[in-house]
Amino acid sequence: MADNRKKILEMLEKKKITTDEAYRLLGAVDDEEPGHSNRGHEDTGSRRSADKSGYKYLRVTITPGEEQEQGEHPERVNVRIPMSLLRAGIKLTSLIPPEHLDKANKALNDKGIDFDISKIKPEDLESLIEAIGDTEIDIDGKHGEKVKVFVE
Amino acid sequence: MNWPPMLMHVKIKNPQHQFGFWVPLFLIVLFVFIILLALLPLVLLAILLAWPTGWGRWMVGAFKTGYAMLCSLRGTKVDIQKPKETVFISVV
Repeated sequence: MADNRKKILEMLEKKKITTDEAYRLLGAVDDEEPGHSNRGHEDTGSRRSADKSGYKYLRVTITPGEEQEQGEHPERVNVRIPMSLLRAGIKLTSLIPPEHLDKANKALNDKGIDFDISKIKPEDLESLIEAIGDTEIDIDGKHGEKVKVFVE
Repeated sequence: MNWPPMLMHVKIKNPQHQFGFWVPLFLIVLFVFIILLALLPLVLLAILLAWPTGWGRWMVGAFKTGYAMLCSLRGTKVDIQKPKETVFISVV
């Protein structure tokens, strides 16, 4: 990680990137660190306060691998979804008429996903969030990109 | 109590365009609330009429969940960066 920071600062020094881009890249590097403290890049104050499980956001980050970074199409994705939005979304499933839920389940089954949407309950989400709290899903893509899914 | 988000920051950058703007969500939400308030008698009537069929309960649930989802948008951030394109959306 220290190497990444150094590389970013060197790029800034050589004026290959702007201050704004360096700021964002440093933020992304911080975000990648397990148990990162954000180092003042973003809101640090109210984290883990409003949520029952202590986790406020679901984060999905995609960072290009070294091979991709030097290629033509490096792509960075950084998505932060509030847990409360997920909860509200789960509640929304209770408003979907049963016949449409059946259709959705059938479509999932056709794609090989054996999952019953009608059985998702907000309480289940709580236990899922608690379980995922210590888990970090790390996927290395075939082009060297790294996909991370975690809660914070 | 949860409050609806106040602002949305959108930044888009590509070789042709580069712009960023703040959407005053609080004004839009205020506008929608005023319209809903004006339509409240009609909405209540519709709920009462639809209650025996079960759709009334659904309508109440839809309003509650819709409001909850709107309030939950606060803190959402989407940041996609390509070498020549950037899309950044943040709801605060």
